[in-house]
Amino acid sequence: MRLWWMEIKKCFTWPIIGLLIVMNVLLYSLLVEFHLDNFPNGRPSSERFEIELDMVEKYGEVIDDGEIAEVQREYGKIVEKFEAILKVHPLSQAAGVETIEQYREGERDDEAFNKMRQAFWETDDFDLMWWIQAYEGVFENYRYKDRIFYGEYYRSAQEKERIDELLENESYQYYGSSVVENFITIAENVTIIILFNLMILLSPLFLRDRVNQMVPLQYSSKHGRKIFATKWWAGLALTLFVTTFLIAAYGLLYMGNGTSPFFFMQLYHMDNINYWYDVTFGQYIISVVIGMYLISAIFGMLVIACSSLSGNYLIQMATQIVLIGLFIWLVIPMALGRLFQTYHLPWIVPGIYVGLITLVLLLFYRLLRRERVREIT
Amino acid sequence: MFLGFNSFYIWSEAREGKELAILNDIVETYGKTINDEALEGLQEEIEQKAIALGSEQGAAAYLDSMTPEFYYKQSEDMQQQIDELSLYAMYADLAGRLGERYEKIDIHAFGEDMKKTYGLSGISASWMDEHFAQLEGRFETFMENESYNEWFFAGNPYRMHSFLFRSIMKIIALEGILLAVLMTAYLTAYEREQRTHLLVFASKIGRGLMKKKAWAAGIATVWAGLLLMAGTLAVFFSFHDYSGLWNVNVGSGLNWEYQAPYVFWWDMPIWQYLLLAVVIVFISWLIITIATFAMAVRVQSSYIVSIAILLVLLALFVVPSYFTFSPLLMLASHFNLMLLVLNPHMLFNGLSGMTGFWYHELLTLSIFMLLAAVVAIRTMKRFKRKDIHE
Repeated sequence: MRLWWMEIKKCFTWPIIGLLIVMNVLLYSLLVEFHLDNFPNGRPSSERFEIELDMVEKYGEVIDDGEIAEVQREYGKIVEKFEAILKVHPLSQAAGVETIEQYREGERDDEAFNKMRQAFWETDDFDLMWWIQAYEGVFENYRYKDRIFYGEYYRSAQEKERIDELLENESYQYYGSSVVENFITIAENVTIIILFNLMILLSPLFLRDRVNQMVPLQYSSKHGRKIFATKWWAGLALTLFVTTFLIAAYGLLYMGNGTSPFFFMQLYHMDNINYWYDVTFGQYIISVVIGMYLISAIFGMLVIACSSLSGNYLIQMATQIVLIGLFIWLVIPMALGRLFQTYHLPWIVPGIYVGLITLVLLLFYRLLRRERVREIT
Repeated sequence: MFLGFNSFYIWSEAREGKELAILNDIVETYGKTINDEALEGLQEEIEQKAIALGSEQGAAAYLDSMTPEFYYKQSEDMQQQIDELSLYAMYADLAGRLGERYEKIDIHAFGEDMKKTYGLSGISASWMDEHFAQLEGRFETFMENESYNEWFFAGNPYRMHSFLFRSIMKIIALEGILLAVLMTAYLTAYEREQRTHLLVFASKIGRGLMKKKAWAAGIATVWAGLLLMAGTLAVFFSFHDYSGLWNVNVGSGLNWEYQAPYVFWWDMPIWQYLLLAVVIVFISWLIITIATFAMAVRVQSSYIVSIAILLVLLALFVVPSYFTFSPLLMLASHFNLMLLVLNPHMLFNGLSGMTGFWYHELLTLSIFMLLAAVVAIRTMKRFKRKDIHE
């Protein structure tokens, strides 16, 4: 146990801690900051998000015709307000525009009209137009709710079955998909950051001893032969620690996006992508977090295995770059980004996890066996 | 491994190969410049092709009346001919409208927009004004010479310039950086990591070893780079036939991919642009090699050094976005090695935002070369007198 603790302490040398801090700051501003600061991204998405928050509070996750009519009344009020502005504004008077239809269908070649449009873009008067567009997005969604799954577009027979099932149960989409998209983008990018952290932290685990030529010394004692397992456990503990720490930190930051009213909503009400299972957004978040843990643990174990196999830092870094590339472009988008999605057949994503975990366990078993009988060189 | 990845990437993006080849036929028949004669000839050829396809009312009407039902009823051979005809028509149409499109470009307005979006004022604004005044002069001569009138793969939809320089060249540059940093750090910290430093650095010749290591690292970088660059480009040009296009002006009007065209600071053929881009990437690799070497001599741990250098390079890429509070700092931070290496499609382009200045490339490379060299030389001097210790 004491050795185990020592091994953990050995991984946190000052230069490594410094590099980790710098790297986290840089990667945060490169990968995550944008999706936290700019949610909902742009207009009229931000207006739409506000409208939808309001709708969740008032009507819950399922919306019926009466409720949408109520929303339409609010929309009517805003249109009236906008038309009132149009009626008194000198520029719109000059262009002869009085109603919203005229405003929307105005001639693009008309100079007075263009001038008015330009002015409205630049002043706050146009704000109402964003609201109008946002409301129309909501109505559009509602009007096409039963067609949103595009019944005839499917990749497999199973997907078709799932779509039919959703349509049969009237599991329609009522809300925009920006919340789910934003969440999964952040989750993927945070996982990438975790992997980089693990790579830097765990690479020296075995290599340091090898480079310092400590291995022959260790191998000559009976206890030294067991150090492999001790180090492996230390690496696993570090992986879990780093993953937990980063997920907690970014989870707190994510709460700032204010999506908590959606946590109890079924995914199919808020995303136009189809999922194999009926899960709520909250359950989906928990599954994604479990996925992040699994991916981090698998990656951490692979880093440790490489560390015990490669002879010097050059080889180690080179294999790590290839490995992290594979994870960023294959494993994370497939096993995390499209978790539960009907994009892949239902067995593919669990298959990836099972396959990778088996690979890691086999690798560990082989390395452990090798360690017992290894020649001292 | 990198070469394999690059080849796979090029292969997976190479579906338009056949369509692109048509341009080579056009250049072969009409020469590389677009002029009235060539346009007339092309138009005639299009009409002939249309008649050969059995149309009576002319090519334009024939293509207009094309419906998917009709198209899919034709034999494969016919379909191919129809495709060819529509591509010819597209090129003729694009080429005929080039002058008109360029007339509409207002360089001055671009400058005003830039100042507005970045909130420039004071020195930085006047610097920008000067830059755009210069660019306007350049654009006028460009228009007078009608340099845009040359054949190239249609920028929209093919975006071949972006594909070659923005995608392929950037990937090569990044892979080269990784290789350069890893190899240099490994070579330089080798003695210490193999525990031969006590022996080697004790002798007079051994102290001079570092200089030899610097040369070795440089040569290794160049070799690895050559292998990567030559291999990838060979694969690229075997998929895409540029044979008739080497002498085409890279600022050709058909090479207009997005809202703004490329307005290069001088007219140069494509081979020259490619060569310059390759040279710039190589020089950047060497600068990074020197910087890595300098740090590795001091720190003597290949692991820490390679991570630290890669982080510094990442920081160079990220940091300019922090400087929104000070226009002057932002301007200065755009003389930036990483922005140069990661945007090979924007080299020498006047309309590339804050990196568009006349001689921006030369200035950036010189600054960074100077910095790296000074640090490396100082480190070497210090190393000569350094104590040996465990």
